[in-house]
Amino acid sequence: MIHRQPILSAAVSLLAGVASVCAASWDGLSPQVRGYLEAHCTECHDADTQKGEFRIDTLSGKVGFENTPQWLEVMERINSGEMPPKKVKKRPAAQESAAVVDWLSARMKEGESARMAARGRVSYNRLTRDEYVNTVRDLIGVCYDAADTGALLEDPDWHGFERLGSVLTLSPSHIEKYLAAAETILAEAYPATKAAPIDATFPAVTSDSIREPYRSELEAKALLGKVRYEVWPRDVFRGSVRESLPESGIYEISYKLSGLKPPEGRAPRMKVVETAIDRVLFEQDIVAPEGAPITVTFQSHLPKGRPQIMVFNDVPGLSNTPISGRHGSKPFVSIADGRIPWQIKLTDEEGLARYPFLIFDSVTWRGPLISDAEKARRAEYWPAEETSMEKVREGLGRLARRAFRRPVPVDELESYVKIVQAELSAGEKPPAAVKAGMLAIFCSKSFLFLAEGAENTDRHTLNDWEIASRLSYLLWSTMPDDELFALAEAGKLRDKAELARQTARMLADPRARRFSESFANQWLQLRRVGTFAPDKKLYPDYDKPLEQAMVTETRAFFHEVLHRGLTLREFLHSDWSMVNARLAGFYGLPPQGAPAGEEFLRVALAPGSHRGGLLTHASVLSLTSDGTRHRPVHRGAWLMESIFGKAPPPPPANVEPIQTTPVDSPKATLRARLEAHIKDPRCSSCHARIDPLGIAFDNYDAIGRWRTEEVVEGSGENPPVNPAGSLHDGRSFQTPEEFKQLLLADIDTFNAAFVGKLATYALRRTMSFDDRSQLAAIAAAAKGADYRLRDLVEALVVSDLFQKR
Amino acid sequence: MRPILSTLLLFLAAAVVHAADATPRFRTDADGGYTAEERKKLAGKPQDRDSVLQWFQLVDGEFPPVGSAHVISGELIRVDHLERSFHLRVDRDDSQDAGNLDLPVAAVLLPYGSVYYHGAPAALQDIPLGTHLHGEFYVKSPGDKTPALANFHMHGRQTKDVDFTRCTRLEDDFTRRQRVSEAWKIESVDLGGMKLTARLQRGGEPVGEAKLFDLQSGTRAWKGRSVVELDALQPGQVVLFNLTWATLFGPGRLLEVWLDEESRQGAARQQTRRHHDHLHERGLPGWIEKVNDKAEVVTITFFDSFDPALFEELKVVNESPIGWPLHKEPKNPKSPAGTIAVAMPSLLMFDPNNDRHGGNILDVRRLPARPGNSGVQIDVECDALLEGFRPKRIVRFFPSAWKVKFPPLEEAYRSY
Repeated sequence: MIHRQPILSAAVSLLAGVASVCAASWDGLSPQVRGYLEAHCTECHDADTQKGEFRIDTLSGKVGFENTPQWLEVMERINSGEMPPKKVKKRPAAQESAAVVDWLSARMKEGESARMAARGRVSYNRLTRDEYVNTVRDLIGVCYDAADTGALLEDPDWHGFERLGSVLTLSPSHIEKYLAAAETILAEAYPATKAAPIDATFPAVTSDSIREPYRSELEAKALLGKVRYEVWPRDVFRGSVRESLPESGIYEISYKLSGLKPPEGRAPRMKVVETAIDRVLFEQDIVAPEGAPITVTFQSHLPKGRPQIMVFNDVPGLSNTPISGRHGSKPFVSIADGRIPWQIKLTDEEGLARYPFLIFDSVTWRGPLISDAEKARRAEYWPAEETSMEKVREGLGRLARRAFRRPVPVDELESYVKIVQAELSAGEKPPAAVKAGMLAIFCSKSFLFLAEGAENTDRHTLNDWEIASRLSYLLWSTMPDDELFALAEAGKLRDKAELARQTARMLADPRARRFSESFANQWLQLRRVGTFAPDKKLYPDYDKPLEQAMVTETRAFFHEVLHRGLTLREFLHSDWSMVNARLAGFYGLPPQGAPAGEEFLRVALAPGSHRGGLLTHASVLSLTSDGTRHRPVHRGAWLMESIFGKAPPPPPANVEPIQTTPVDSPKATLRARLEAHIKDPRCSSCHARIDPLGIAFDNYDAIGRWRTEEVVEGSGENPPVNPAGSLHDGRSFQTPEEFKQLLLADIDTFNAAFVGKLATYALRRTMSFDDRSQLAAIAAAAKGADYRLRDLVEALVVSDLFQKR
Repeated sequence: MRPILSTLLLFLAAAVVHAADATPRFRTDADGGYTAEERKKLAGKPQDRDSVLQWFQLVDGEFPPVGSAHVISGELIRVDHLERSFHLRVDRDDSQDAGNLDLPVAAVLLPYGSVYYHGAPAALQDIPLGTHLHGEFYVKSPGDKTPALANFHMHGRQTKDVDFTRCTRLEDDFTRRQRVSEAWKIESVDLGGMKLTARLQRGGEPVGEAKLFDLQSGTRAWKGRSVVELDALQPGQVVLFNLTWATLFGPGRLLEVWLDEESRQGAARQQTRRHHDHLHERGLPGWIEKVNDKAEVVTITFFDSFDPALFEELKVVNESPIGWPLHKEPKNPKSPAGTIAVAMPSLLMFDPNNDRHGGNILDVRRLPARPGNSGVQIDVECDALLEGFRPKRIVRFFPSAWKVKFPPLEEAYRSY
């Protein structure tokens, strides 16, 4: 047998090889993938020939769950075109390879999602930073500044979502910070000494700060009480603080001031900064005549002690280093009275402002402010008699029940009472001992985490308490209120009618704004806005207030759609948006009907405005830019993820970056330079689906401004923008407007993707294969309600999925 | 008919011409001082006040008309060179009775007021105390409520010129005589009795009577470029001299005497250089005529209180950058440029090292000169405008070609 003709023996061994390869380990592979591997891969990578010591035939068919590193390798090699090697004659078509890569990638994603969603008997989902702050406020009436430097860490995100249980892990750093936070919170709730609150107004310039001979001169003219303080661009007012704050708490600060705006310039912008804790307390454009100052008031949570507050006039201007940018000893009384001759000329010969400047009159402090309800809460937890263990148990019991958002068994509570007892026996004073017990509650896993499930059984649905928490954290980003607790106690929260009623009640509450802001932020990945700061030379008009306005527009837009009972279609295209004066100017909206100040108002968008829906929001258009130019491929990937719910497969490794055009070469649009994406079949197989989605918006530059030509380096005229393209199903479009219409026609895809995003947000975990049918049910209910957002949210809350772990 | 018509037309023409000459009439030295009756009217009802021909009242921001000043002669007895204010002990004359002799007038030099010494522009500090001076003065403004100078010992008596507190010109005898082509011809010299007799000459012709001056042991005589002893004084010489204690015990005592033209020219030259040095470190004074706030261009009118040769400096180009304290360099480095320091009416600056701003000189114009006004106007494009760049505010200009060391702290106004 061994000495047969070579061809025949080869044929026999091939057959034998094929037979051995069709093993059970490939169960799960689609027929297309199986056929591809057999045709192009197994010849070199099977039992007989193991090129590179790699065997494909022994890999598991459960792609995404088993042999993941090896399948990743396979996918990479096929994607980059490395495999099959160049010398092989019978090559697969680019479409075929792309399809295989796609399938493998999708399975990998599913595997990832399933791993992330994997749940033991009890799943612990840590509260996000914002949720912690809101919960503490509702629990004990203390405002904790978690975003201050050194307070709590920022939450990591996964594709924009910041509240996934499997992503929010706990580290020793977190524990240290939670302990410190709890101490700060309890110190504020139960201060050692009671201090008198403050309620004082003082002038911006006190007469004892005025030096001679000016003091006497002003006194002679009876002008001592009329002295004010002028603040030109980039100048600072340092006279906001007269006394130390008696306690940590919320203080109300008012400034009485005027703001003068040059006829063709911008308004002065008052920016109040506490420099010790490095936080901006308040900022606003101020326009008020010299003789008719206005009062601006805001509240801020500040620590005990003497704050260091500087108020800037945060607009660009001349350098203040030369003496012309300084204050002198001669106090300022009025523009008519005049300033010191060597100071910068702030007003022209007609008395009109040449630069935007502020004029401060007085400052008022009131606080600490605490509502009666908050005071009552704090009193609830404190034992009436500090040494009576009975009272201590009662107080701690009330605290623990609300903190853990569930009833607390006797022995669990006893462990906290024992802490108090131990402190007392160690010689600690009673108040400190009680606080130690409270501290333990604040640092307990039952407080910091939303626990779902039971330790001794396999429970796959939520109980009433868990539903109450899931609902309140979804719509209000905070712990359940008394009504929800009462309903949970009564066991009524599994009733879908009740859930619908609660949803309506909670959406009508002002706290529902937190849902709009938080979900919009996370779904649309608004966190990425400004991560690559736009270049100051290319985009001189871009600054922090504009960036904030862009993000606020999107959040306010979402809230408006939710609040007014509008449908998902508005997200794809609308004839209105939410803008403030700055943003209206940026978009070039007509001045009639545009807002005048900082407040965001709904404005109608005329057909020629080139705006409408989320996709033309400056925030969305700029979050994919790199600081110098727009990135259409990133825009396309973002759109696939946010609107279609499908992230594209990853690019192959070691792809060359796009070269910048040499200055003597003719100018070309970015689209023209992405030729390889069209010409090279390995690239175009994926990019034909991704690029058109981003190129559709090439008319919007890196920061979202409309344009018809692309400003690029090179010689010749700037090339015109060409946004035309076609979707993968063949439908084509010539303009962004047409593109949006195509999306609108396919609203069910968006609906399904949106439901998936909302479910991820609500359940704090990725969706997996098991959730598919329930997600489809919610999508169908939403469709039945004509895709109304409010009804979609309700559909989620009353769905089976919502009560599922 | 025709003669009547032409007379009528002539009359009308004269009336029109007279009406066009709208400058209101003001009192001059030719009209003399106020009489007692006029003073009574001035203190009375408005219509009485208006019936008196009054001295010219200066208008803020305008130069005074020619011939509107009142001349006061007296000795410099007190100086505040920083505030440009001084006291003159008014010369004795026949109008004063015994109780009103030797009373002082306190005045301040206006920003465009000039000082002359030895026939050349000077600063107030260049004139030694005790020098006999002649000045051109204006009455104080109606709103000026500062108490007038009164003599304690003489029961609060005041010179009749006490209201003339604003001065536009101060000059010594040397300058005054030279300006009106007068000089003294020595008639006799008595070195034993230390007396000198001389008679005034105007254009070579004798004027008035011979006067008997005192010589002092410290009297300095100049001949050519050297100081000589008093025995160089000879009858027949045509000299100029400065006096002290004038009109007290006689015409006065000689401080310095210049015997020949060369010595007089040398003195003027020396004083001119001294004033150049003074201005080099303090800038050319003027006021802002107008401001273009949008283009940031200011127009400066220069005063006539300094040597016009300095205007040539406005054409010199300095290509090296100005640097601090400008926000940005002049647009055209190959064009003349300069910086402007804000100043007070006393011409004191604040902190010129750090507060000047300016740029290219866009234009230099020569308009008709008037008392106080040199007629020279420049347009300066500034890197930034200051509060002091407003019409009629005083400024001092530094051509960028000048290497300047700025004055020390006492010359800074209120040193902020």
